[in-house]
Amino acid sequence: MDTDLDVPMQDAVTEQLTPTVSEDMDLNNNSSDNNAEEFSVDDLKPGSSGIADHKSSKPLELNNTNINQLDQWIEHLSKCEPLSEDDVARLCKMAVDVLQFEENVKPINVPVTICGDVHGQFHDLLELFKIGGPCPDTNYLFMGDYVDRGYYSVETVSYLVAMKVRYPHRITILRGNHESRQITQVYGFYDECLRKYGSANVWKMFTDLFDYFPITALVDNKIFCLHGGLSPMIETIDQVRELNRIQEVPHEGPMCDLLWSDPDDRGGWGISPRGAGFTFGQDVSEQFNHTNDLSLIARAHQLVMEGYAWSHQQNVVTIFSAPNYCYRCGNQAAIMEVDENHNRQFLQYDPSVRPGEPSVSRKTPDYFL
Amino acid sequence: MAQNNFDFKFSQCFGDKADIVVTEADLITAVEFDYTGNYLATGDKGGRVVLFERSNSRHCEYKFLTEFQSHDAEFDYLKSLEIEEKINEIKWLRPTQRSHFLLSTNDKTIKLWKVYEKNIKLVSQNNLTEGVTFAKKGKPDNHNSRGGSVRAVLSLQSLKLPQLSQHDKIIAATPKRIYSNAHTYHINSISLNSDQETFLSADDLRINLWNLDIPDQSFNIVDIKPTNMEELTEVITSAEFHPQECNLFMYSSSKGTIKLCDMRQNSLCDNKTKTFEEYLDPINHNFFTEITSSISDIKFSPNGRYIASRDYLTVKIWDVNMDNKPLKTINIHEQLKERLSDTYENDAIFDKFEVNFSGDSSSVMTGSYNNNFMIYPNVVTSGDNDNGIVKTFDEHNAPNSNSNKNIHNSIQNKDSSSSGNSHKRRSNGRNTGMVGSSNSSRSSIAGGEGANSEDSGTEMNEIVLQADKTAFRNKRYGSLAQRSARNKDWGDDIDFKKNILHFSWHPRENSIAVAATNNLFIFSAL
Amino acid sequence: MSGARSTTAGAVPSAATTSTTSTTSNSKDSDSNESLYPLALLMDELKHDDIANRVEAMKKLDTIALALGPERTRNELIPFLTEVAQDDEDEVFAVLAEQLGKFVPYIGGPQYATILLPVLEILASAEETLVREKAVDSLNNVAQELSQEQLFSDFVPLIEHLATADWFSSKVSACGLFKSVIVRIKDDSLRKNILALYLQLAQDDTPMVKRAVGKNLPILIDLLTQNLGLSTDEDWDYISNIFQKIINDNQDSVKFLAVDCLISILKFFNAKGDESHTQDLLNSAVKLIGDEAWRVRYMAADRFSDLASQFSSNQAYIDELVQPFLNLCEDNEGDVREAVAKQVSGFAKFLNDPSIILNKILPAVQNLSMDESETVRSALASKITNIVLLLNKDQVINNFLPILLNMLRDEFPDVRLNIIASLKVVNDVIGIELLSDSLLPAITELAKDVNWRVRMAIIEYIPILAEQLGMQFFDQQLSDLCLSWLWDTVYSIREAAVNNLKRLTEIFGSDWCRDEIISRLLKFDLQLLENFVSRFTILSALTTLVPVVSLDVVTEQLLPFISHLADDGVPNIRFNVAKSYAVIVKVLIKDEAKYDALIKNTILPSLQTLCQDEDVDVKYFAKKSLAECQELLKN
Repeated sequence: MDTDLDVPMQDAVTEQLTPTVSEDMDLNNNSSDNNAEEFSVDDLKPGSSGIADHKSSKPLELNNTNINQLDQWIEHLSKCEPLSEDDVARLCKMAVDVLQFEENVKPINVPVTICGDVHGQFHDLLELFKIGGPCPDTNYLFMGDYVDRGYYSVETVSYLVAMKVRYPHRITILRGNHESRQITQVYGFYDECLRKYGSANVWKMFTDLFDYFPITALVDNKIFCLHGGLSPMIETIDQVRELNRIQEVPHEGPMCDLLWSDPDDRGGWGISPRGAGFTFGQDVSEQFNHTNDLSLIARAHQLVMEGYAWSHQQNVVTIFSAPNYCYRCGNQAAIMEVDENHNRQFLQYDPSVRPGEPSVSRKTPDYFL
Repeated sequence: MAQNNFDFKFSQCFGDKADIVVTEADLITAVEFDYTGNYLATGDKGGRVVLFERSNSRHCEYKFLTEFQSHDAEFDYLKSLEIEEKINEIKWLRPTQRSHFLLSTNDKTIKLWKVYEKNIKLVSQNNLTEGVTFAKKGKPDNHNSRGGSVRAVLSLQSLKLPQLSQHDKIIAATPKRIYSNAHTYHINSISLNSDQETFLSADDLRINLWNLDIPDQSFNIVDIKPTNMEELTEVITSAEFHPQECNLFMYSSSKGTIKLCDMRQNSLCDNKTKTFEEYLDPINHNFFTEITSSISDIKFSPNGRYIASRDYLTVKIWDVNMDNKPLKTINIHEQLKERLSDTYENDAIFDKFEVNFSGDSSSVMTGSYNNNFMIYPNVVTSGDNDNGIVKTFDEHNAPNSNSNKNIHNSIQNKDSSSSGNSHKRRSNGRNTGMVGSSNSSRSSIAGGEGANSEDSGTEMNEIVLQADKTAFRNKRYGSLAQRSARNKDWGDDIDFKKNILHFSWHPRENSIAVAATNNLFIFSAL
Repeated sequence: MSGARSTTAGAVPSAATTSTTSTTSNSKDSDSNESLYPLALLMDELKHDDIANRVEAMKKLDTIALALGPERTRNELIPFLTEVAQDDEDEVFAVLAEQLGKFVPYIGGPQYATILLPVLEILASAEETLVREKAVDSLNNVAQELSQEQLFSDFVPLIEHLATADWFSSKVSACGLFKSVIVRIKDDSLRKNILALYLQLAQDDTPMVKRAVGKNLPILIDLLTQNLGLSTDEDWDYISNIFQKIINDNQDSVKFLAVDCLISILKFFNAKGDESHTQDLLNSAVKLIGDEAWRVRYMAADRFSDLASQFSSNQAYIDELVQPFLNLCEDNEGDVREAVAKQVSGFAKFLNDPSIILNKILPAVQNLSMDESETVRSALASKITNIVLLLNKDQVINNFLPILLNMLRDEFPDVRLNIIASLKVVNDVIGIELLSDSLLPAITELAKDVNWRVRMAIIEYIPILAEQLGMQFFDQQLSDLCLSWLWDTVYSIREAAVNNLKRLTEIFGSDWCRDEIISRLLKFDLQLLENFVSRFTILSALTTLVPVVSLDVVTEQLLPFISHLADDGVPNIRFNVAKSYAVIVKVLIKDEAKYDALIKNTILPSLQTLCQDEDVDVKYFAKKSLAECQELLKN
């Protein structure tokens, strides 16, 4: 496994908690604040979708009927067609009864393939499965950020949740900073649900379901996986186990840091430009790996041009699985395969060809000939 | 209708006249007559398109026809950017028998609108409505509101086709095609090809070619985007197809050049273009010339022989065959030359003024501040070299290939054909006292006050009119020349907010429609 | 028309009817009432205010017409539809136009067919292109059923009316209708008028009309070619006049239609054996080939072989086309070169003198093979190999092979793939040996391409090559490569490699597979088997081969290895072993007697243990396979 030098991560596009317009190459657009309008309190209150009203006391039992139903949904979703609103409600209810019983630190066995942000780029998710192999034959761990930015957040999150319910032991889906009510209102998932379902109901169901997602995972007690990074208030993994995770992502505190923090070249803790979480230096990650007897921290959350990047001298790895992020950044994506002997192999891939998008080509179209 | 009478008088004004604060959405951002001149369209910042119809053929009078919401604000959550609904440009298609078609565009999306007279007919009689309710097939309807199900007995003979009664006639506007997602930057121009099947759309760095019938595929024929964006020095500011030659189009740049491309040479038109650029002695360059030389608008003359380009301080008239220097340079607002730093402070220097030709290709008009707009009668003299459009792109092909020869002749002898798009009247070639040379420091046109004669506008080189309330009151006060002179001398108070950017010249007579902030003024020489 | 029984109509017939209709209500009425309800609804929906309902109703016009019967359809439905045709939305017009084309039987047969013409004429003048096209198709369908008398009394006047209308939309439609009359007019003067009308359309100043003229002219000419005796010289004066209008038009989009017109004209005169015009037509062809607009040159290049075939009767003409052809090969527009690159072999077959091919054509091919645009090179690669049929073996080896081998090393993968895909003809002429020493590096190069989709493409060609090159060449050169793909990092490549082994086994047979493939699969060293991905790949390879190898190979070699994986540490392996058992049993069941014991003593017990597995997925797939096996054993 050739050791990569510490590839610097430039953030072409960063999201902040306080969503100011992210800079980009648009020529005459001056950045203007478009702060997310606050919730009208009552009807958008967490839990109001009702998917968790009758959650059961023991994990979901898969019988032939719901297996066939799930297989049908997965087949339907694989063609990038959203489920009906009723089906989404039934799926989310089943998912609550799977996810509520998973711990904050989900234990996972090797072999497993670890993936980063997908951000609604559904056709690139299909490309990921072509590279890594289909579920359930390959075991998968996704580290959050399934929605926002891309055009197919609804299909992407429905597809992954359906596979989680159908094969709970073969696939694990962690929570990212985008799996939250406030962020999805600004970066597109709320608008997409409105456009595809005519109401915010589906958005409410999924954002309620997000509260149940586990926030970290531990691969064979050796690789600690989470979306963002470390927190000054967390020194041992046990402290993560004690958190009460079933709530909206708070604006600060340990749970917020785990989903928002970033590794940094500067040592110690620093203020994050994102306005949430912290930056942490090599000393912090080395200390954390040492106290918890870990070989690696795997996380996502940041765009990296080659799809993956080592930092802190291989104490931390960033994995990003949305190629040509925002259909513009031109970055590669990557996934990390960990085998039974903890050998790690990175698979990089480019964006898949996306059907249906109007094509602006430099090749003479036939209507011109 | 004599085309050489330039005694423009105020005719009409549309829009809220009260001097209250103007709502942003009412600012008019596009004005366009159709091919016949019988219809007039305006687009505003609120994304609305308003259409007017000619109500009187003898003297120039228009009335409101209809209005529709063409574009809405969108949030592009891909780039987390607000896309404004402001209408940047409107272009009419050639008329068809019953309905009118126009293209309207905002920064990102172009729409084809069909406007037609729609009969609203109500069904006066059909099979199932004689006060009879029926249980819908297959759906048990046991709790029918009117107690118990009621059945009419039908026989085959009694079945009738629905009869309709004419209820009302409305003007309806429906979007026929939406051309979206093809521009990463802001669209500044759209233009229809003479083949009436294709059109082009230009943004800051690219020009796309579309087929009107195919909204999901576009062909990127010009791309000036540098591989490394740091090296970006030039952007596209305006683009237009040639009115007759299906293969010619031009685009202007922020560096003051105009590029004429021939789609016959290659499928991609990035290189091998004919560049219209005037040599400016470097010593005249200063910080401001960099900005003021950026061309804001270019137009072909309707007869296809000339190009008018407008930059911040001047309008230049070019002959299509002569690319090294313009035929004429007209200085628009001389007074601003010393006050460029003020215009830089309040961003006025970045205002994008349009320029338009008269229907007979003889005159041009453009706009300035204090609600002033200028008409330059017969400024476009065809001069002596009267041969057809000579293409000198590739040296080895014959300079005046016959196909172009006849196009010019066909303009000569073609009677005004049904579509009325070309004119047999050629400009009257009289050489007005224009001091053509561009580098004369004095205002290159004999100032209005110099002209002492009291006659009608034909003798004047520059008519300056004002599109605001004063136009109502003293319609009769003073001759055109005196009014022009009065309008021209602003003294110190220049109201940069009252800029005349958008206007349109009637294709067949000397009538013009001028947008002044939220008002639409019609002036006519009829 | 099934009148679904309305559940609310009380079973008791005496339910009070309060409606105003006079007929007494008895059970028979309620039946007719029920059956008519859908029809009544359907007729009302024709004017429903929601456009989607109107479109749906319009699609069932035939149902309404059938119910109303011919007479009411003629007197009531058609007038109603004529009204609709003038005041509704395009979506409704499109369906209406389509339906009316099949309406002749519903209005009482051909003698009434002319009733349909007025409404179709309105639709043929609509602004929306799609509506017009459907209306023209329907008009042409209806025209087939018109008698000669009806054709001249109604259909021809309709064409004249459309052709002389003010608006371009009607004139465009008119152009599409001439083909229904041109050959049915026996009277020469009447046909002359029709062609005069077509000429008038060719002189219209709207480009869209001229394009419609240009597009339909070849169709008309081909019809005249099928009825050689019909057209007179005078007709042809008109036709050539129309052709001149198109070939000299200023609009590129009109002028490039002249190429197809020229080909049809040539076909006509060749059919008539009249060579008097061939030289002029050749001049027109050369003029089009050298036109200043690249789109016209593209069209000529794209149809070059067709064009040349019309001049093949006289070698002199063909020789005159050689230089224009070579010019196209050096055209400054990439699209033109790409089009002509595909026509090289097609044109070369008309050159009887091989020296022209050797001295002129092949040098042009040489340049094209090194063209700076990769699309040109890959277009050349897709068709060029057929040229070997025109040369003898030595000529191929000395003059063409170097070019071919060069293209096999092209840096653009598509070029190499296109060459490999079309090697058969080369193999037939000069045998594979001369090729093999450069073929193998080309294949291995593709096999290592960084883009996994290129690797995937070459895998798909292996079976074709194997068939062409034979087992012996394959075993020496390609079998290692085919096995190496099994260890590719990308799952889809591994999957394609497994399928490749199956297809090769179908070609080379079970014994070959046993000796060349399975033996090496089972001998892989243990270190490799420590990796889950490798174990998974071998398992899926062996399972995929089960149906294509002999039963004893299955039982002696495949089954032992598969069942040894049944207690693998990773659940994913175990539940795939469960799936493999079902595949094996499905095959072994063919010789149930011999293998019944084996199934019952080894396979089923192993499945039963898997059914108790602690992993829920292993349990699920094991139970599923067990059920399948028990099902197979039962019958």
